Amino acid sequence: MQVNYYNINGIVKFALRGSKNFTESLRYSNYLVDYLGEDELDFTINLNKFDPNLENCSILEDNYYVKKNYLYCKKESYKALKWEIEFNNLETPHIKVNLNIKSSLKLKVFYILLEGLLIDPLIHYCLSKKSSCLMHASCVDLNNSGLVFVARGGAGKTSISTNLIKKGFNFVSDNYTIVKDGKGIGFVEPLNIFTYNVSNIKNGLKKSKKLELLAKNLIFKLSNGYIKVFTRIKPMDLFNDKIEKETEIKSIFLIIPKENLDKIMFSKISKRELVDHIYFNQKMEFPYFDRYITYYSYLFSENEVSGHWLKYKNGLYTNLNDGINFYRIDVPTKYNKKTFDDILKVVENERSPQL
Amino acid sequence: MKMKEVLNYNIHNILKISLEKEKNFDLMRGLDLEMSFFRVNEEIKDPDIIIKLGEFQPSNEDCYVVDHKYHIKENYIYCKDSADNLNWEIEIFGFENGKSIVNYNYNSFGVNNLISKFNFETVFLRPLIYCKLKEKKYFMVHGGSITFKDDAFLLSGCGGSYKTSIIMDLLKKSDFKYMGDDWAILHKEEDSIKVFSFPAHFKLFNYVFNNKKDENLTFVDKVKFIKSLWKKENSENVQVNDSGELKGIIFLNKSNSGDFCFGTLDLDDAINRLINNTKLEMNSDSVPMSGFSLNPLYRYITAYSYVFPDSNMAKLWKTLEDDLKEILNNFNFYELEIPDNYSSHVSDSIVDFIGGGCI
Repeated sequence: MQVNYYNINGIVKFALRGSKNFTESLRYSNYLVDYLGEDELDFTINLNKFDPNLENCSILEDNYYVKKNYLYCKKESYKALKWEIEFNNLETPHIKVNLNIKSSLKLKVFYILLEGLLIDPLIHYCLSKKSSCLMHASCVDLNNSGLVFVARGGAGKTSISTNLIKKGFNFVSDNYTIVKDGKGIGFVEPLNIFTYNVSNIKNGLKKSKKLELLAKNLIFKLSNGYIKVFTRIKPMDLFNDKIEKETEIKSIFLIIPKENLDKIMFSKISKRELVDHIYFNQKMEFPYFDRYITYYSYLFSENEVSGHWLKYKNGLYTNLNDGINFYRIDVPTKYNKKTFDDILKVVENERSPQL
Repeated sequence: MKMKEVLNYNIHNILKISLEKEKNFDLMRGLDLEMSFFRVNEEIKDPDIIIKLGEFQPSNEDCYVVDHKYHIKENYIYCKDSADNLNWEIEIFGFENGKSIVNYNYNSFGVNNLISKFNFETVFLRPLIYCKLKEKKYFMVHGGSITFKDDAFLLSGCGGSYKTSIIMDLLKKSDFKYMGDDWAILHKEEDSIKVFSFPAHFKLFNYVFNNKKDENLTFVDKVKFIKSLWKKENSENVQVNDSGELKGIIFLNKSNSGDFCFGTLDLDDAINRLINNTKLEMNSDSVPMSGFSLNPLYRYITAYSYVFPDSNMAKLWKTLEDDLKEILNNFNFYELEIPDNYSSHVSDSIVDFIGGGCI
């Protein structure tokens, strides 16, 4: 058993306790710190067997046990990963989570899955509590002027930002960007690379990473899409001297792929429209967490947990300054050189209503 | 050319559904469990939902694509999907309003074929019915419903809150009649709220009511039930009351605190429970043997809302809240905390509560 502490840009602080595979998370390695006190922590996750505190609970669907400040889920699964989970102190500043993997095999990939299924949403939740917002978006910077690309998976966040970095922009974030007071703050995780978003960085990859990518694509095809494992590359290894911690957001682009488009379609949108898209994007991103919130809210309305999504939406309105420009770009489902050139024209000019 | 057959369903003349499938040897034929109560022999004109089972060519050109998977355009979604051993593709025209046409194809055999069939009814069809009824200002709520001397009462609760056991016990007492043990439909009439029956899984309820003391079925019970369906054994049908005027809503809360007590809820808490209960039921992992940890249709709704955040679908829960507040305003709501070891003492108390004029 070991414990590691992480400090995400001084905003959210958490501890992971358990086996080395879990606590030494590659995803958050950029934020590893020596120590954080109990009072500083926003959440702690203990990965181990535990005895749930089930006294005086309401029982929902014979699987969820709920009382004030508390939620326990007896069994949950995602593909081969099975777990039980207990949230203590839900409505307090320091949420304490007990987690037990119930799958008989303890595969390393499970720990990676747990980052996306559980830790990312908790970071998202705690950021929102602290009046910041996590967006499913990449971010690049040029002379402290930031461009943010909001999109669902596979829509081109990584491809667009890596293409712009090739053209002289600095890297801020790849998958998630924190927004606070009009600033885009980097949430530096490894880039999740698959065959469809590798083209711009292929030359910078080591041979071993290229082979890893090919092997994972083969597994993806052989498993008929069931096993999709990204190749993870640390941004520092690719853009070492071109990383900015934060940037003043100048423009945000919503990217949505559309079939049978031969050129990109570009339009200005309102802040409200963009916020609505970001809101549903985030809900799609954290479905298990969303369901935990719903179970708790079923019994306890009018509290920090049940009001989370409204707070998140309001937080986006507040943190996205009025001076920011909001655009929507419909893009072809497969990018080619012309697509990148057209997007580049848009982000450089921001003036053509339709290219 | 393969022969086709059409099965028709009519939900109280409010919503009509037709299901078109290839007429072939099908071991699972007759196991239309969820909707069997609403099956009608006569042809249905102008159905609200048309379902076509079997291979199809999707019309997914010019769609927005979300997560490389969901193909979405206005009022339309197509998706090729899988969960554990199940693979299916589904296409829905009229996804958010108007008449719906659903193409559904699954490729599975043996037990998986049976699961795919259940899945379609519970995972896809039920939420679709929910949305279509809502469009017509009829609201499905997750709860058992009964009538007592022609007044209707709703017993709302999450899965596992003993709705079925309580309804079974109440039916053994005089003056109670069955309307459903899982879902009910509410509709505002001029000065009252009308409840329409929705006896989902009616064959199963009949079997349990006639053969079991409580709702818990062992594996052997389930096998016996399926055998009775194959053999078309007729057990005496529970009499169903089609509708009644809503007099009270009791929220069931199963708890291990040992308490057994009645309380009240205000309008906001009651609406919160009704909406979250529906969300959870739509997004439940309780589809038997399915391997679904999250309901696919719930994901489709969220993906559609992401592309069209101004759509009816994106505003589903908000408009539901407004609608329910409007129709349930000035109504009294009760909560009954039930111990986790159920006894008929619970239904006795409900009889006293209802019959004693507490509501």
